Amino acid sequence: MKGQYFIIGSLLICILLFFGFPPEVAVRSGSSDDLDFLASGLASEFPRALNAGINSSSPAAVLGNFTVFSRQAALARGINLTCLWLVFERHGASMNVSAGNYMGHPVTVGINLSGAYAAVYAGADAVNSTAIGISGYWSNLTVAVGQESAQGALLHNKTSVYASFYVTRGDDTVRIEILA
Amino acid sequence: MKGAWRTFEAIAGGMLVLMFLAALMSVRYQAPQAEPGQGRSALASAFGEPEFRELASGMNATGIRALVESRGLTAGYNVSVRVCRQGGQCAGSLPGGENAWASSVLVSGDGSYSPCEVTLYIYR
Repeated sequence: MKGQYFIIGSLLICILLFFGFPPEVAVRSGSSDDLDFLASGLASEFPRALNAGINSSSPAAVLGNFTVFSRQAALARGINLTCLWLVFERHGASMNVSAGNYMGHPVTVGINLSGAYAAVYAGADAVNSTAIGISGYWSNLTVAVGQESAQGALLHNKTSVYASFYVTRGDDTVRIEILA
Repeated sequence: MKGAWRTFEAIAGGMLVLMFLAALMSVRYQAPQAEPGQGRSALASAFGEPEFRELASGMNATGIRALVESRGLTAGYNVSVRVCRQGGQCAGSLPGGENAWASSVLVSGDGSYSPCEVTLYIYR
């Protein structure tokens, strides 16, 4: 009788071993290049999302929605997407700046337009706005967050977007910035 | 000591039986092959075409698949395309085959805002 227990036990061990094999076809989407592919795709699509937002008179709301959509799509592929964006809209002699913070933690963004400075605090997954006085046709833009900063030329006669994306999986991170 | 020997024999015997059954059922287990890269190149190439955006916004997975295949970069692979809106509504088909590779692009809309994700699968 003892032997039967040994046989049953060993069969259970065998079955456990075979549970290690996947029963379904594996779909592979992970390689180092796909982070670059996603980041460059976002960089080209963000200005289009901004244009769609301008057409519906709500650029910041549309960009916020598109950011959340992009983040969910990336997460479904095991990729973590964080980003910070600024939308610049001219209103008379001032530039309205909306800061969308999707970095996962609150940030304070320092914005300098040819010497006129404003700091915007934005909580995690939130949009906050400020206004900065401007003159002339364009400004030297400097965006500072923590120890990092970026610079560019900002035209006053169009609605513009600055965005900084971090696309991360494991130890690999791709960072891309746009000003359009 | 006798019991341990019997256990070893039973494990070996059990594994032989299960392997035989697996072979009989033609179940093959293999690791996914390396990423070929053609899918991403084909999708990037099609993404640059003006009609891609219109097809994506219209959730025309068949049209996108034809556009991708017309680039000639996916020769030797089967192709399927799936377009999914933000709310989870999808058009197109998932891949078959033993090895499949996915590449996707995000589209914000075609003039007006209607975001969707276009995923290209190439498989064998």
